[in-house]
Amino acid sequence: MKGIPPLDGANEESSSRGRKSLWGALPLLAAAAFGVAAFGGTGQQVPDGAVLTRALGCGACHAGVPEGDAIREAAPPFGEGMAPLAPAYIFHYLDDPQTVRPEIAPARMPRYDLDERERVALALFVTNELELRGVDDDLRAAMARHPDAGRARGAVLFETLSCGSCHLHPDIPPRLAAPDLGATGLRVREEWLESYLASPMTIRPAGTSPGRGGRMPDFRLSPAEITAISGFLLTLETPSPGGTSPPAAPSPPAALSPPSASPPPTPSPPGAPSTRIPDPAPPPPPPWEPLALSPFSMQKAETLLEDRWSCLGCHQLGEEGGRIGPRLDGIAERLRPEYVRHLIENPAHLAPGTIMPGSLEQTDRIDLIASYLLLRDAPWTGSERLAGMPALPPAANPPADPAAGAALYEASCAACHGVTGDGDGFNAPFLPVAPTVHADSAAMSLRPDDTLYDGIHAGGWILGKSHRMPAYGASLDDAQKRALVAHIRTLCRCLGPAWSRDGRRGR
Amino acid sequence: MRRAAALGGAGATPRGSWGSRAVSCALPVLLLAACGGDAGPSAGRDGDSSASPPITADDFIGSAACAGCHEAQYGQWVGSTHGRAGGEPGPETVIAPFDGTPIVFRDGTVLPLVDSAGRYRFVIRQEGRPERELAVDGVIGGGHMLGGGTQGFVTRLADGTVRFLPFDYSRHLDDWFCNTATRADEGWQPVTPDMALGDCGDWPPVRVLGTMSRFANCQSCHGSQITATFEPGVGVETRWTSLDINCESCHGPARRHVELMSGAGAAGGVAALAGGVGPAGGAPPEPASPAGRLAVAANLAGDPTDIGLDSRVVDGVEKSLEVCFRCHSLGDVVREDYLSGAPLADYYALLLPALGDEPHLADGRVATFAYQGSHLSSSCYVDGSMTCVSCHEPHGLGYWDVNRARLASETDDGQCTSCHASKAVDPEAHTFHPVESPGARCVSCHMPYMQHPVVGEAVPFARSDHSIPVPRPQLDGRLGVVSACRGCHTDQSELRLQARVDEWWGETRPQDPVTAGLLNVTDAMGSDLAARLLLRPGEAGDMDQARGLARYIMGWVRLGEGLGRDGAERVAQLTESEDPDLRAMALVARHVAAPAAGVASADGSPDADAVAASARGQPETVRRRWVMLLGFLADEARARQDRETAAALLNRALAVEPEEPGVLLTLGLVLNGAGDPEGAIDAFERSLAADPNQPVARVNLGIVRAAAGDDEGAVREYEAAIALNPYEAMAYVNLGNLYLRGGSTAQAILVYEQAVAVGPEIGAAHRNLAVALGRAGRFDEAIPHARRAVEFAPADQAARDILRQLEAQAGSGGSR
Repeated sequence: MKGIPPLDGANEESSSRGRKSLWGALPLLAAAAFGVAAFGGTGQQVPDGAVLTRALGCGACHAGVPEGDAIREAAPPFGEGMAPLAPAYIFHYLDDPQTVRPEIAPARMPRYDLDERERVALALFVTNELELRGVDDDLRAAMARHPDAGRARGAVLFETLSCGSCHLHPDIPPRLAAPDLGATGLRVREEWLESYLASPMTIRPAGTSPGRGGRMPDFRLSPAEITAISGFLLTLETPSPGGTSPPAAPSPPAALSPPSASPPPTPSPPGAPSTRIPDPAPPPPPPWEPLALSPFSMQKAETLLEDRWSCLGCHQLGEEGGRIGPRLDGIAERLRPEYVRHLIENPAHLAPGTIMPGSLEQTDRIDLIASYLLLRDAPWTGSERLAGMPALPPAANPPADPAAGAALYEASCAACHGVTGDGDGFNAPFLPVAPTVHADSAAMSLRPDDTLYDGIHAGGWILGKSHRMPAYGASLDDAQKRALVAHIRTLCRCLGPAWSRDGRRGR
Repeated sequence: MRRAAALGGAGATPRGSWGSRAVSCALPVLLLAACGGDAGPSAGRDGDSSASPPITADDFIGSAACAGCHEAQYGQWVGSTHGRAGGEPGPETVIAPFDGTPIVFRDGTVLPLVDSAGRYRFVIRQEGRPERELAVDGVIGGGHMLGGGTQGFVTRLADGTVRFLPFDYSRHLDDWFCNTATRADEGWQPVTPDMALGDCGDWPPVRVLGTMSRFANCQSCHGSQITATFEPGVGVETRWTSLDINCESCHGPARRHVELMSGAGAAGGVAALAGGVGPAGGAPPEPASPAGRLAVAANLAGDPTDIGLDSRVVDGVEKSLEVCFRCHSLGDVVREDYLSGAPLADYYALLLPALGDEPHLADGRVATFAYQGSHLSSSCYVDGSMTCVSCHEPHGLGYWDVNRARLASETDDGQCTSCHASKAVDPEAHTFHPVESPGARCVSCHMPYMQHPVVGEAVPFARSDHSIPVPRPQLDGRLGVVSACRGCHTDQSELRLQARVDEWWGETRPQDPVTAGLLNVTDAMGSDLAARLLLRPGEAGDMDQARGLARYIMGWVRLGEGLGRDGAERVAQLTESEDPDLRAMALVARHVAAPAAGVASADGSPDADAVAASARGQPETVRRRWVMLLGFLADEARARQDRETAAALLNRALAVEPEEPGVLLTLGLVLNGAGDPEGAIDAFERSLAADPNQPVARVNLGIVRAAAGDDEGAVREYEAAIALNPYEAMAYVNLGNLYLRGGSTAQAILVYEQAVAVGPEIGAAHRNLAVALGRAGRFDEAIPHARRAVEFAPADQAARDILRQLEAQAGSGGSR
């Protein structure tokens, strides 16, 4: 990556120009390519949800819907050798693409709710400008305010926001990093989906692939488009085995989807036939309605959430809880009850590839917690996006061996324990007990490998440590747990105590 | 009660030591001297500083009231060992053969009988004595325990107490046995024709149901909400809800819950709380669903989440353990008449038995008789979060794993592997035993059944080791314990088994530092080294810390001699412990070692008054323990005839709790023994001023007055004692002594006869009656009482001498 060139005289000169004249002087994007109509275009015709979904490129990020080939053909590629773009144009365009290019619909660049720093970094990265021609006063001032928003950071954002899923880039391949939409009809409520499509809000504070900052953009859909897309998505009731695996995410349990048999999908190259939704599909969750909980039972669930269960390690509820998963307030507005119930019990079944571990609790407790969350009197507000995304470095793409300890650790542990095991993951500040510092050689030397394994399996509670540390016993197989232990040993550069690793059979 | 005597319940009559432990099941040793000796420290006034809610026996309603709404849980409970733990005598509860087959003793036979009306009773026939019949008023136990199940029986006596009969039944032996602990001292022994009835410690019955400082006191756990309360002027009122272990034993009083649940009629509009709609007028509907009922209750309670009961679902580790350890652990009684639902720490101190009695081995395993409290020394608790209900399903008392998944049996590995999953991957790699073999079960090696040593070997009473140790055959051999390995491999020595352990597992996990210290410390070591070995703040669990601190106090803490640098530093850290027991022990160590008031210490440490003054900053639970422990140490000194130290320790206790009646009573005993009757009288009077309802304090005051020649004053005290408790045998004994000494033999006989009527188990009463009858020439009547004196007090040489004299005189045809 190249750094930001110093501002030169040309830029000083250009700064005196008005915005419109500057844009007028700059090469335009390939309007013809970007303006491809996904459907017959007069506005009088009722849009077809499936066609619109394809045209908008939903499948470029989401599994479970038609692939994003069309959008990759329409969206201009970036990188060396591509047509030069003016940084100021991109800077402003990213702020609100449809204001800049109102004619761009129906396939259109969505609005990403980027802050100024992010827009600077992305503008510098995608324009590939060494001399920084075409910098206006606004961009110059923004660059001064954000001296760290260089092309390197732009590259990271380009990847974490999955820009490359639509805009092909030689260095950053496309990836599926957004939730699997294949079972939207089983998951969400229609009213919520329509409101979300009309005005997307943050669901996961740290991004879809937690810590890496992915976010749903706003396509500025018309009511007719919303109805069409919602109607189409709600017909989808087939989770994609393997799902939208985040980079380096763990595989679901072997019993459900053996890693070797179902590797995480990688996007097909543009133009390749769509073959992503395989059979057989897991059956939908059986019908379920929340139990009628008394105030006492509601309090019981609340206390268990607070003092015993691990849910709030990852999820925010009220003012408390982690920032890894979606906020739990008001999920009754968003999710279907049977989905909530069965997701708690077996997340990998309904959301293959999720890092949420399956519950080891008995059905009565699962019924209780699901009912509580659905009955709790709290509005759906979405989540506050975590500042400073991405909090974790970009993961390997395509994902590394999901069974490898490092990849598993990054996906499931690093949010709290930190990528290097320093206990400083982005979620750590939201936990009542500081995560174990796996890099602490002295402390970790006192812990047998089996203790680490048991903690991963059964959670922090059984070790007398934080109950917010979940149990992965239902989600990771023996090899994965062993791999994690081995990786932790590389972080601490230590071994367990001698008494725990000797004996005739090397235990 | 041991130590509880200093702060026990209102007016309960004490005995001569600081009592036996609350749940130790030790048999009572009455030390009251019949003639001028001292009686024990009295129970004190009812404590006034507890923050516990005022729970009363009337707050409990019984398990049957739960059945209607909680059918599933009730159904589980009914079939559980708690639900079948005892009750009224009947075919459902009695497993012992009440078929008239005699239980044959050397000196009598006992017939267990049931008549056509279903009345169970024991008929005791002894030559030369009238036949005696004792009704069975309650059945204790059902012989359920795998390691040895037993059943006992209780009868209600005229004084209001309900006492254990000595005829226990072992399901495993299918035989009767009795506890000889305080007589023959051979533990539990099957009844044989070689055994005398008096070899049984409970003959005549002395062990009462309830927690009373005069008696052995594990008995408030053999049923539900058992209380034995002294009522001045009346006697003892013994109550219980049931003799099984009922729902409220764990959940606390349920009357309010039931009233709330059935209070729907007054709950207009409350259905809204459950999401429904209240009626516009007229009678509100009866909520049909449990949720609706709960909502109604919540509304009535004013707090939408209040169900009037502790559901226990959301208990943390310590609160959960408290429920079970109220009975399943040793504990010193801090205050009597505990009722479930009250804060346990206000009533019991689970760590204090470590001081003095040493009920646990160095590594926390049971050394005498200690139930499952050794759990507190297990790594699963100390390094984890394990509670009783991690493995024991609490309603049916079956087994489940840490995630509440039901398990097949008590040997199911899921109890362990739901946490220790690493061991389940390749079990044989860990167990070195074939997977399906008994030796491969986790509990076979880590929770072996251990016969509780104080019981002896004759009657099976083994309990699974809840300290969950790592097998260490060599150490077990050293400690005199049969190792888990040797429990099966009986043909191999512990040393050979240790070699196999070493071969298979290599180095064994080190013991915690306190346990290691306890195993390595010797009496010859200096104070600093002992402190470094035994006091390891922050490095072990509280139970282990308490064992180390107890050993340090007993071995190296001397009155006014200071703690040394290491000891002072480590004790100071332990005084910051959150656990009230551990903190109180540390404070007592510092207090005992502190120089006397005004005496400068070499290291500048505060004097005793300054340490005592710091008690004002301690919570009530700690101060009570502080005084109890000083009283216990004073008793130890008194037992060594070191009355000076005993008095000094008691005065330090009074500096912590001024005018504490139990402490003052003991101080009176010590001063009297030290030849200071005036000081003793002053102490007794102060004790009675603080708590007038102490019959035994009156007796002791009378004894001292009589010794000083104030017979009139003595009679006044004895009569006052009898007025307080018409069943106070020692008042009659000492009153008789006065009459006898004054030559009023006939009056003495009358009073002694009252003494043996209300205290038939008191050897001294029989002895003195024999003396009086002998003086009256009534040798035939005297000799049986002299024999009973010897029978019930085998160590009483005077009784033996009197019997010999009487027999000689009777044989020589002495006048009648």
